[in-house]
This record gives sequence, structure tokens and C-alpha cells, in this order.
Amino acid sequence: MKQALTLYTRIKRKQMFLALILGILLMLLQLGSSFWQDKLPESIYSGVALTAGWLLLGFVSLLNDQSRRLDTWLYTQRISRGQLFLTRVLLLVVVPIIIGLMVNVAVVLCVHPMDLWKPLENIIEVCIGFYFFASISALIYTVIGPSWMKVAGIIFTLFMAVTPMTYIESKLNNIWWLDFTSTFILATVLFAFSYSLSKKISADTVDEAVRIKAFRWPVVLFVFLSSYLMILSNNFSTLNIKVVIGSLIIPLIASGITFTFVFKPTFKITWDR
Amino acid sequence: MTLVIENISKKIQDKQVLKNVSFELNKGEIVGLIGRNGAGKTTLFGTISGELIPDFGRIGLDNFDYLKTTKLHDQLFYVNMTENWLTYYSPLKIKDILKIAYRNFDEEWYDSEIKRFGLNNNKRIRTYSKGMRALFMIIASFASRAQYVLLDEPLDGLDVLIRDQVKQLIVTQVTNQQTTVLIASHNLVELNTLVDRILLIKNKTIDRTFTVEDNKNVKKYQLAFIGEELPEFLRDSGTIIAQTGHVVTIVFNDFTEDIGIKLAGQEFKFVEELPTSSEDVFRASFAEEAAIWQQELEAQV
Repeated sequence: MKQALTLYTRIKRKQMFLALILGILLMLLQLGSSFWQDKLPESIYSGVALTAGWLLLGFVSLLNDQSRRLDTWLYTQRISRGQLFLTRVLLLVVVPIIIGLMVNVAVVLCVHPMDLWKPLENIIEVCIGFYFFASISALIYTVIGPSWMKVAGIIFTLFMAVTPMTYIESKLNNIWWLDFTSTFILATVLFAFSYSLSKKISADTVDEAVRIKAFRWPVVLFVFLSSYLMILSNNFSTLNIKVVIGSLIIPLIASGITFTFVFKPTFKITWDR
Repeated sequence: MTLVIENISKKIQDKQVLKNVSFELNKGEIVGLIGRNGAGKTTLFGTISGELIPDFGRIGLDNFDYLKTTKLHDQLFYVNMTENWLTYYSPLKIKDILKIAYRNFDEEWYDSEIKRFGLNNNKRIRTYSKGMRALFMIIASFASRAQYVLLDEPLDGLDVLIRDQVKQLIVTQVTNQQTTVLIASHNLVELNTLVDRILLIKNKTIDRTFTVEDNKNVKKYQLAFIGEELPEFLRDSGTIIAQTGHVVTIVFNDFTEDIGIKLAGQEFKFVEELPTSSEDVFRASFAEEAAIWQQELEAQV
């Protein structure tokens, strides 16, 4: 693990530094605008800006790893695929979140030294949200091949996750620790699942929509079910047979497109006898 | 120290590329890997090095399963010569990284070779010419001091003078460091002067292993036939490399006594055995395919 951390840090030193700089710039922007607009309480979210900038650039640099075939080379190195996955989670997810959290705590201590609990609760909630979204991104990064499909997959999944997440949160809102704990556990389970999948990734599947064969149908089904359920839940108040059938159109198109990318069916149209 | 490749099979996008590939690489030998375009040479390199996960089979090194024993992974160096992350960095930066990646990385030798070949230490490799890039990859490969170095088309794009120096560099490294080198190449003339033995990949597997000297079954003849038509048995048992009028150069994949007797017959004005090269073995190995193409070409004309 030490070798994985040392090697990856050395290779990505510049990008990680850039990500940190971007995060700090965003943080300063947040701090500056809070002071400028005389909205001091908002300055407690400056660490959140730092984390967001860092995470975003970290993800872009991950896509870069794939397009430059760094992933492929790292598979030949004195590190296992699992160690590479953990290294990335540690350096590109855990470190930015912890540093952002520390900055936030420091700012809270300066701005609200008397009333720590409520702002800290908000900050922890945001950090766990980052952790959860990072876990979804990690799973999609692992399972999906081409970079643009990874990005499209993350946007789609996050969009689909909004409705059920809001619903669950509304149910758990009164018991904040349960909300935090369940999100944290779910994200950790997703990371663990991605970790086990990352060990099975072969470099030759980089151009395949779904890199693990067993996940081809589940991905198509996920696209269909998630989009169908989301449309249904948005029309819950006016639910009737017409809505139920009408709501099928978009999910069918979305899953049809996904099916085409995943299975690459070839239809031969010919007039020759 | 022997690298043992046992029954490696690999499918890519549901298409079988390698099937039960088995061979061994011994300490201090240079082995050539030849095969037609798309035969699976690069896939084989990728699988041995750990880039690709084989569907079946095992790669053994010193009684360990090489792919599962990551601590051994600096014993083997492989990068795709054309598409790799190294090209985005300068030799100076690459040295920093390879020093961490390979425990025995020879910094002094790396610097001296970069200097000897006049490579710019501060420019990104992707700004180099194709030949210079290939040269750099070879320097990086040997500087790693990995026991096994896999080179995929290393002499491609190099001019004659640099090619000679690179070949010299490979031979010197193998002699001094006892490195084992597996070279894939289409340039069979170059391979002849470099390798101890050649592995021929055909029908998704290692079809034969041979040394040019020991390949007694493959024979090459130049002969002149007497009649109007080329004797039928020549087409059936050999691959015609060249024909000018009645003079034919032919390679027999499996030369038998029976063919020898027929060649000594009245149908020929003269028959002369020529020295065989790995190119001849290659042609002979793909005689059937060559014959089909020949028939197709003749049909088109």
C-alpha cells in the first residue's frame, strides 16, 4: 500500500497540487464574498468550496489517467488493482474531505465560537454528502469504460438519486445521526463493492460501455427502472393507467440507447439475395 | 530464473485472441515473437505484464504466480511502444517515477544513455521523433534493470544507424545483466541477427518454436523446371516465393525424402538448396493462407 501511495503521489503530484490550489481559490472566493456581503455565517462553508474544487479536479485527473493509459501501466506495477483503487479513494476523496472539514471547523471556531453544534452539523452533512456522491462516482468509474460514458453515467445517476434521496432524508430528518450514519454506511458499502470490482478490471475492456460482463443487463435494467420510477414518483398525485403507460416512453428510449451502447448490436440491412 | 507461461487463453470482446499459449523464457536469452498482424502478439505482451487479466492459465516466476504476486512486478518491464503515459513527461520526470517503480533502477546508466543518444532531458517524449521515442523506450526498459523486458516492435521507425546501436545496446545489456528479452517484430531479417530462438504465433497459440539453424524441416530451394507447367507437387508441398519464367524459389514447410527424390528427377534443369532464414520459416508456416491469396489474385486477373 505504501508503494501505491508513493508511486501515485509522485506521478500525480502536479495535478494534486493544482487541485489543492483550485480548492483554496474557491475557498478564498467564498470567504471573500461572505465578508464582502456582510454574510459572515456563510463563511463557514468555505471548506466545502475547497473540498468541491479538489474533488472535481481529482475526478478530471482520473479521466486523464485513463486517456493517457496511466491506468494500464499501473496494472503492471508493484501494486495491486485493489491498492490502486484504495490509493485513489484516499488521495482524491478522503484527504480533500478531511482537509475541507478541518478548514470548516477552524472557520466555525472563529465565527461561531459560542454556538458550534448547529454549523458543525450542517458541515458534517455536506461532507457525508460528498462522500456519498464520491462513492457513486467511484462505482461508475470502475464499471463504465469510455470517459464520456462515465461522466454521462454519473450525471444520470445523481439526477435519478435526487428524488429518492430527498424522500429518505425527509423521513430521517428528525433523527440526524441516523441520516448521517445510514448515508455514511451506504457510501462505504458502495466503495467496498467498487473495490472488489476494481480487482477484476482488465485493460482491454477500456472501450466497452460496461467493463464487467455480468453487469451489462443490470445496467440496462437500472436505467429503465430508475428513470421509470422517477417519472412515476413525479406524477404520483395523478396516477392512473394512462400515466403508468405514458411514463414508459422515456425509460424505454433511455434503456434502448443504453442497450445499444452496452451490447453493440449489429443489424445487417441488405438488398442482396 | 525462468518465466513460465502456461496455457494462457484470452478473449477480447468475445473473440478468442489467445488459446492455450505456453512457453518459457530463460535467463539471459533473447527470444523473438513473430506472427501475422492481429495474431495476438500485443495481447500476449499485455497479458504477461498484467495489463490484461487472462481468462485461463498461469504465469509463473520462481514458483510464484506472477500476476498475483505484485512484489515481483518490478522484475518485468513492458510499455506499449506507441501509446503510453510516459510520452506526456520528460526523461527527467520519468526518471523520478521509475526510480520509485523499479527497485533496481539504474539512474547512472539511464543518464549516460540519454546523453549518448543526444535526447533532450527536459522535453516531453511526445515531442520526439518516432525513432527517438522508440529509442527512449528501450533505454527506459533496460534502465529499470528488470529481469524480463518485453519489446513490441522496438526497431520500427529507427534509421539504420540508430537501429544498429539499439541492437548493440540490447545485446550488451543481455550479456552484461543477463536480462531476458522477448521481442515482437515483423522485421524478420533484423530478428535473425538478434535472437536465440523464435516463437511463431499462429491460430491463437504458439505454433512452433525454432532457431534458424535447427529448423531442418524447413528447406528453401531455387530450381528451374523443364516443361511448360510447374510440376504439381511443388504447389502442393511448398510455398513459391518467387517465379521468373521457369526459375522458381520455393520454401518447403515439411521437407521429406519423397520431395528430395522428386527434385532429383528429370523434370528439373537445376536444383540448388539456399540458406533458410526466419522469413522463410514464416512464409512456410503460412503457406496455406498464402496459397489461398495467390489463387484469389489469379482469379481476379
